[in-house]
Amino acid sequence: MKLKVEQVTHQYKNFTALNNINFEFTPGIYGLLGPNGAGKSTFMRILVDVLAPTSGMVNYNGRNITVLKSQYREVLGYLPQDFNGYPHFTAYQFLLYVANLKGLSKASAKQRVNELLQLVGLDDAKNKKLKGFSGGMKRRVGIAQALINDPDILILDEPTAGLDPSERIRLRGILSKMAKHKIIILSTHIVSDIESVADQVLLLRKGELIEHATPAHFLEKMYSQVWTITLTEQEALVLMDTFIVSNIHQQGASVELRIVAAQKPHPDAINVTPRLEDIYVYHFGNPHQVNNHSF
Amino acid sequence: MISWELKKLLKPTWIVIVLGLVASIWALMMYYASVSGEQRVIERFFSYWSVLGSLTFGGIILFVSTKLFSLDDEQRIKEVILSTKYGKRHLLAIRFFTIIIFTAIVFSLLTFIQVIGLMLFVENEYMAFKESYFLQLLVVFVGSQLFAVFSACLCTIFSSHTTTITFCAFLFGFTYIFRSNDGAEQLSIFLFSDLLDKGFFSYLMRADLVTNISLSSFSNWYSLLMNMTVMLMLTIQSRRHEL
Repeated sequence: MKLKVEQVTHQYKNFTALNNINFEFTPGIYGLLGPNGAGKSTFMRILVDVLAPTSGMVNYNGRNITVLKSQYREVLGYLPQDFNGYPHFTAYQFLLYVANLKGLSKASAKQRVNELLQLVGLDDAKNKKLKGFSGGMKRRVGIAQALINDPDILILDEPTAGLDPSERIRLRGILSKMAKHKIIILSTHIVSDIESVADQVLLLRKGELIEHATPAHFLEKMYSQVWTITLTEQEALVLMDTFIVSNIHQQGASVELRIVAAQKPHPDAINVTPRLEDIYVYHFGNPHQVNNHSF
Repeated sequence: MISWELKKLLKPTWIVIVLGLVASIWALMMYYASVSGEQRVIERFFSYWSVLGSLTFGGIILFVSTKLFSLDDEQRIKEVILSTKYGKRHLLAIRFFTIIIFTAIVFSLLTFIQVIGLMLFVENEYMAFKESYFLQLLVVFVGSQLFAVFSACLCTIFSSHTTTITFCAFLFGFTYIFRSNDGAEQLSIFLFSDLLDKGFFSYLMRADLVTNISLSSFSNWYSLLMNMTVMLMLTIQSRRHEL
């Protein structure tokens, strides 16, 4: 199974949302990382054939998805960034409705919906109307609807938004179990989610795919380039102007900085094991540094 | 699939309240007509679609059935639907079929209310069910179906229920505002006032054509309007990559 993205470009009037993206997805979990406006959602919308690229194409097993149409959508599961559901439908009714649209028979739809409601922990709330659901509960309904047809390609845009830590762990478990024979693509701002489940990480910036590699490879590249140091506030401000800071931790009167730098930033700096978050900040910067130089 | 779409349409409970209200007003109108004798009741019976029936029907079409075409956008679920196997062309066709069924159901209910009103106050009610009555019903049925499809097309184009209601209510209301049916022989599609009065669906839904045969020339206008609207909707949907 292959999903091949070939020279995909997408423009919204004068704004280039995606620029000449080339990539081949095979079974596994892929994490999309990038700041807001990097083109992640546009990329995902093109992959699910909701949006046609301005140029380029996406091929599924060698055939253009815009030609395959419903044959392609049959193997697809998608959770968009914004998801609400019909407010007057119960979770159970809504999932049955989506199952119907995905071509499941009535009997198998009922069985699958019950399984999924249990999987996402909404079994008790299945007969409640969606209008009474919290953001996290709606997100779980969204995840369930994406899984309903047991898709070969699962695309999740910010699946962990609004989920509490235990639900996030549950989702990671679900995805890891499924990953063997499926292409799973997810984007999230919570870097640790990608770090723990993704086989490959794709970095998008201003519509361009700047780098892709396994998390281990990224971490290896950053090895011996991440430092921590505890300083006074004044000293910390000076270092923040000079170096990429991936974390700031106030400790009473002093401040602990986590710095990404090829050279030792300070004589007292201690080398630490890199995290994917350090790579994110290294590539995309830390808005805190630009906008707010005070504690 | 049609049953799911119908379920969405039949959710609002206020339709029942509206129909109850229409039945009460109609019963009251028929009661006051009965004071002046049976002939007056029969005359009133034929005026049912003129204001009460047609306005109620138009309102239900605009506020209920048209919403089916903007609900996905409003509830931020459109992309989920579009990415499903039957979420594009197939679902659009199903939804049009659903509103045709829904309109037929509402038409039957409103006709039932009309007939009950007559049966309450006239003993030989069969006198009223002559050929012209069935012709009247046919015109109302055709007009309502055309209006339902027309407003559904516009709602798909605008992707907004509010915009569609505003636009369609404006067109629908012309017949109640502009009155140019004097001298029917001189009616012309090229006359702006005639177009506003009779060029949109409320004129059919009021069943006025039955008494004004010369207006049959307007059928060309209606078929042109419908073809253009459907073509425009399909073109826009295709550009949006939603077909």
